[in-house]
Amino acid sequence: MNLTIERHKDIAYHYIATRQFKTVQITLRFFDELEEKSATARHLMLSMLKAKNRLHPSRKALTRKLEELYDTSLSGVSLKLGNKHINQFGVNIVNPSFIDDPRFFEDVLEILRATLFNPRFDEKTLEEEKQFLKDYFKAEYANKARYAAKRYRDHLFAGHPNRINPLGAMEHIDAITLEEVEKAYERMIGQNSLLVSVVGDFDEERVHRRLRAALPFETNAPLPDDFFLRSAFEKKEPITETMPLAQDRLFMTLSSGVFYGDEGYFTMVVLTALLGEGGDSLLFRRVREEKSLAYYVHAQYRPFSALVSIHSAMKKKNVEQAKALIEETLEDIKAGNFKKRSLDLAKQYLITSIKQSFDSPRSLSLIALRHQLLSMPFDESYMLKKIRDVSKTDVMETAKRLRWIFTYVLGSEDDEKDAI
Amino acid sequence: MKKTQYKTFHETVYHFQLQGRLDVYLIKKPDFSKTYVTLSAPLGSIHRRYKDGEGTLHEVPAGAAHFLEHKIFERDGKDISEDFSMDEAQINAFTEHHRTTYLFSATNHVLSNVERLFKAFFFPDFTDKGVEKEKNIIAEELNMHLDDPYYEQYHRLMRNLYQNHPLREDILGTKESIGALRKEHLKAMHEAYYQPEKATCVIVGDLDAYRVKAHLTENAVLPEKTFSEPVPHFLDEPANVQKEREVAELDLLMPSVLIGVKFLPEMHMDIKSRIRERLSLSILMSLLLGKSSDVFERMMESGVINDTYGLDVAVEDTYSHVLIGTETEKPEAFEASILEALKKFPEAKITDADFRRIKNNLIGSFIHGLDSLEALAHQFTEYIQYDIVFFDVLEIAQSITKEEILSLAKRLDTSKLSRFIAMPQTKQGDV
Repeated sequence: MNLTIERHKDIAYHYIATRQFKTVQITLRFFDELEEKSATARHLMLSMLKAKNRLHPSRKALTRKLEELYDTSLSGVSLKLGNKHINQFGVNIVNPSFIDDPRFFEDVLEILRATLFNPRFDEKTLEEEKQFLKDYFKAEYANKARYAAKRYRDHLFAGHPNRINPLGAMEHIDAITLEEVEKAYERMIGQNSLLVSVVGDFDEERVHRRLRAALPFETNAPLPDDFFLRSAFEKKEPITETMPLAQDRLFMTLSSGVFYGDEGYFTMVVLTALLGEGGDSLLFRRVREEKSLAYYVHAQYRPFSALVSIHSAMKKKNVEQAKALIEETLEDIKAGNFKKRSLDLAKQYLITSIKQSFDSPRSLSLIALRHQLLSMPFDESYMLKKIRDVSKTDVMETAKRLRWIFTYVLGSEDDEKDAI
Repeated sequence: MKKTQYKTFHETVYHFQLQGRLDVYLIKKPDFSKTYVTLSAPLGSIHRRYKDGEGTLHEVPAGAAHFLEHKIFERDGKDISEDFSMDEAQINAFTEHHRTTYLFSATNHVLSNVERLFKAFFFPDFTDKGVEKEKNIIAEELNMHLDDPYYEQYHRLMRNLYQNHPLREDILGTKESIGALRKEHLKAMHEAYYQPEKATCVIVGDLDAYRVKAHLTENAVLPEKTFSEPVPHFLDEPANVQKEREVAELDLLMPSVLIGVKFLPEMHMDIKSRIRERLSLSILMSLLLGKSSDVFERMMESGVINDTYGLDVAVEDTYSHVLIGTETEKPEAFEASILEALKKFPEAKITDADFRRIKNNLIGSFIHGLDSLEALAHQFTEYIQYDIVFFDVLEIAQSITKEEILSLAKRLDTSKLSRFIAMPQTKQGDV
């Protein structure tokens, strides 16, 4: 497959042509600074755009049109990448070669054009979307795994820009006015940096021409080049909160100082996999398979904040044992007390995952984005080589620089709700 | 080797039997780097019984299928997933009500991984120690779900919707049944249900089918025929529901309503008619209660539902139901809206444009599904148990007429339903 990058003024267009897929995915990503109040307005604006437009003035009308167009999906999500907020729109369509209708692709572009250039902003839709967003935040409480993760992030990132949810915050929802939404819209369409990506089997020149004609962006800012919130995380006192739960949720945090693309980046990726990614990782083997303490245990490297989060869930009486085992496992990595096979397994896990990511339209679009914005080559063999080149010594030395900075437990007062 | 080309979708399916016993299907996917392989046994959570070689009937504790799934990848007390990983494969498994599926996705060494999967699947190594150790892990899996009120809501609705059906039980079993399971139960269920004749292997990827067949014919080892037999679930489920309505306080901040409409499966129908009935029911529900329906729009406009509204149609051999749910501050209004809409099914009007639109949507969703190797393998397995190739399903769907849908709307009995309303807990001091 090939990645072709076209430009129109400061807007980048990525065309990833591959014969693997029977669908075509078009994604538009608008970048702005990440800030809590504007994130709320931007998310409400995005939700309104994908709900209806002047051409399809009700949710029903738009849904019906999408159904008619062979299950075309129109999505809108708010995301963050480091210190940037992203409003991401996507359409996923059946490849027009399967559809016996010459107007099919034009009709799809017409929906995208209506969504982005012919919005229907009114008080009623804003109120509906505000209610949905409030309901969404309320629902975070219901699923206790999700709620525990939220509480953990709230504490970990308190006072740090990383705390900002790209969907905004409950306390800002009521105050957002229609005027603010419209301003956020004008800024997104006319000023935000924009990256457009198309993945599928198509004629690049023809699709580029038609996209340009349908979506005449002109004045968007150059793509950002600084994504990192390099402010340091101070060590925090552990926090335990209680509520009636069948399982205590345990979160432990390591600070690495290594950000995406830094020199030690690939070592951190391998180290995290060795520690707690997948069924062959050291933590999975020890916490679940050897000690039967938990159903899952997982480590996640957050390369935009340079942190590693370790998460597991277990009976209250086992929390301290699990914590000690997790700390002991890191000490073993520092001392090199792990087998070559464990390191090989971690690398193999990553190699398989990287290869598989080239089979998904969504991942391909993200790999191209990282190539454009973060200078990561759009090249499977480059990534595989970097993973393979990480040595045991690299892992040990990097592990020695890791610092425990915060532990959070959301758990019950006692083990009363336990199943067994 | 049978090769079938589906030119409309540019898909090719190969089929062969290993030693005349195990069905293997290969769906060719050019240019994909990964290959996705599934091997399924017709043992799900609803299956609890088997007959031994002498014809004596036995029953095992609930949760046996899921427990067995946890222990398949264990050999000499060790997890063999490492061997797959070193050969560029990532394994997983899951248990459903009707089936257990083992799978891997590999970017290399596919055939040695298939051999390894066959070995684990057909020649397990259960030990007392391994079974005892697993009980704590499964208990933690059960505990994890106990903290999710939506999971509880679903299960309590199933218990109210059905009177006797094993759907009432959690796929994982209960703390008592997990505690009661022994190595012998797993071994006996394995012997009865994990026979090559009853299993299905589906391989999706860019492989040469002839090479796959030659390799597996030479290298794959299948077990000897056993003499124990599965015992199909005996359907003793009355048409009426166990309980029509339940309100309970759960640990959430916003009320959530789940409505189940129960239909008795059309057991007298032949397989093709049942598939047709299943597709017709999905089309009917999408038209009358889906997100492009007038009912949806009315509920949305009046603030009765939010964007969590969803619809799920389940039609299996031994059960059939539709679930309709939402989070809402107006639970009673939601119940009333759905009940009224269901009552009006016989008077449903469907325009030609509506019908064309839903058909287009069906074709589109079918083609979208072809890009996911995982979805394709699972759908293929689902239909092949009825001797229907997934790629033929769209043809069946396309032949369904508007009149058939209207006729289904008239004769469908939507009166057997149960509602479960989860309300936020009343805190001390609340009025």
